[in-house]
Amino acid sequence: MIRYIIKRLLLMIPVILGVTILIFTIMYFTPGDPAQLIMGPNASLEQIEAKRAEMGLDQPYFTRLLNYLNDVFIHGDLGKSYMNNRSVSGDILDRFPRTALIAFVSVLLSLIVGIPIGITSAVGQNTWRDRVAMVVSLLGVSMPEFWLGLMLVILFSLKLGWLPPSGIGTPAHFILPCVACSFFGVAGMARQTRSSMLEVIRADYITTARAKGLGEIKVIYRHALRNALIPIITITGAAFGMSLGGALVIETVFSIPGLGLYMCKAINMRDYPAIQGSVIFLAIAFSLVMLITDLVYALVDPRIRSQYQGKRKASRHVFRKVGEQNGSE
Amino acid sequence: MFSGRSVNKMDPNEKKKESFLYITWHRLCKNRLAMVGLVIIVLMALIAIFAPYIMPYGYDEMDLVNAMKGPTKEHWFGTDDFGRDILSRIMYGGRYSLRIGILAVGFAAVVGVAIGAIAGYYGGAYDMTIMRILDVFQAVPGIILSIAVSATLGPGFTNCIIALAIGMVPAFARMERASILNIRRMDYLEAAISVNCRDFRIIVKHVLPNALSPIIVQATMSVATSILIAASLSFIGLGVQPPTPEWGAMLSAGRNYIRNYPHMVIFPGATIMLAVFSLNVLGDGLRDALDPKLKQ
Repeated sequence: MIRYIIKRLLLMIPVILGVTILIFTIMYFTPGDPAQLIMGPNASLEQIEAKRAEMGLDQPYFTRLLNYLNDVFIHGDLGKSYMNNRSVSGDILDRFPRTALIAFVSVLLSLIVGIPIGITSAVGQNTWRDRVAMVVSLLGVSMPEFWLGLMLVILFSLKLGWLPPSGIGTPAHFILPCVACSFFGVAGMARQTRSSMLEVIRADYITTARAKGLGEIKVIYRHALRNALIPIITITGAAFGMSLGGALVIETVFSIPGLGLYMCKAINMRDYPAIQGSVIFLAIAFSLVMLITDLVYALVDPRIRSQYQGKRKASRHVFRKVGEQNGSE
Repeated sequence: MFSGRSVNKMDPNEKKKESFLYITWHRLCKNRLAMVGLVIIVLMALIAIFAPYIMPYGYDEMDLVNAMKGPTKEHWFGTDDFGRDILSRIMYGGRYSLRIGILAVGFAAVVGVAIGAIAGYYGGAYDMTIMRILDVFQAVPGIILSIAVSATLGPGFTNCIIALAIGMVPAFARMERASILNIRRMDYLEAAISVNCRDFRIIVKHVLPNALSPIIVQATMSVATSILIAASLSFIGLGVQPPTPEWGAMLSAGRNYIRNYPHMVIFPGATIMLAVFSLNVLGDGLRDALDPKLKQ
């Protein structure tokens, strides 16, 4: 297992390197001159040129790329923001916890709420409960998250006055953003759970379990759900990515000073280091989440686990199996 | 409406390709929810196309005396901060929102399918290189990649399409590659190779048509997703900008008035939801119709 984790971590390096080069290249072609933006409209041409030289903007593409890669990977430094000359890594680390909190809570909510809904739907397929749950979850995956956020603000903050409409003072401030951000995930999870449960319920071993007289609850939770969970784990990682993206947009609705607002501001100011840094940071976070997903997946599914538990033992096992099959044919 | 028997009564001389479409269409017709989706989305497209002839007011016709009025008999969806009729703007805005979705997906599908076909068909070093590049693209969640690309390209209709398309290419490429790897093992492909067919002809004539069903389903669903992401981009000021009556841009313009005039965000958002909902149920229906094995 440890070997698998190390292998996966090593495989992350070229991907992150690639993302960094990709984002740097995209940003390189951005129109607009940051030196001009920093110096303001009254600066003379010489002043701007001097600033460009100071910032290293006058160097060719490859030199700048290598410098940037050197900074990021050797020194772990994402550069300094053009806006306020503060370290981008520091700013990101200050803000990311809020974004991560929203994304994490919404993934958690989508698991806690979505999976039971999916199970109920699948068990009572084509009943009114199933139909209602599926139409509601279809509506859920069809709404823009930020629009749901606005609707929640109109209802709970402006009309009923129960919850604050924006800001981050108390835990109550996070209720609406988390709910708005999770709705898409809840709906998606319910749909995924339903379809994978339905697939599993038709399997022979479920018939066997029923035939040997197991109670329905045991059949569903002990036999069906365990197997149906495997594809659900796979999409949980992707769901985290979606929630992260959703949280970035939701932040602008609720004025939460997280990474989303930071990026929006950076984009408007053409603050390349801040944009690059945020995207690279998000890519690393997302890759780590995908890695954790894969690990959980490997832990839960014995078929995959066996592949990484002592390679030789596993392969011998496979060979024996193949041999047996060949012999019996 | 159509029973299973009508499929059996088909003219046996009919070409196989047509009968496939015919069967799919019949299966789709039996799915009531999917038909509702199809009708709504076709209706929305028609409204958008003929908007200049049927909208009650001009989409940029200002009437400051009647600004920010709630829904009335004259203005069904109310008016915005410049007194422009929101219903007319939504009708005309379909031209932007729907077109962004369709064009972005069309672009992504063509590029993705081409890349995936090359990777899957030639395999080896091509496959390796292409897949590793796609890994890099997929290490960033699609919406974040779209945000980064549109931050670079700047706001605007075309840039928004490009930003969305780039985020979607990897999914299409992967899907196409997977289907092609399956098809490569088929006997008819070996037959085509054995009669010395050119690679291009094999891919276009024999491989692609057989790998089309998942792509169609994915495309339908992707139009829905890209309408949602386009709205998000416009909302944070990166996609299409107000005063263009794109639905997301209308939400972005209306959000400052939600305290007193919530109708300015309710109606454009509900329209987005309706469009995406219809595309999603249509996609679900198409998936069941194209692949009866998956039908539950």
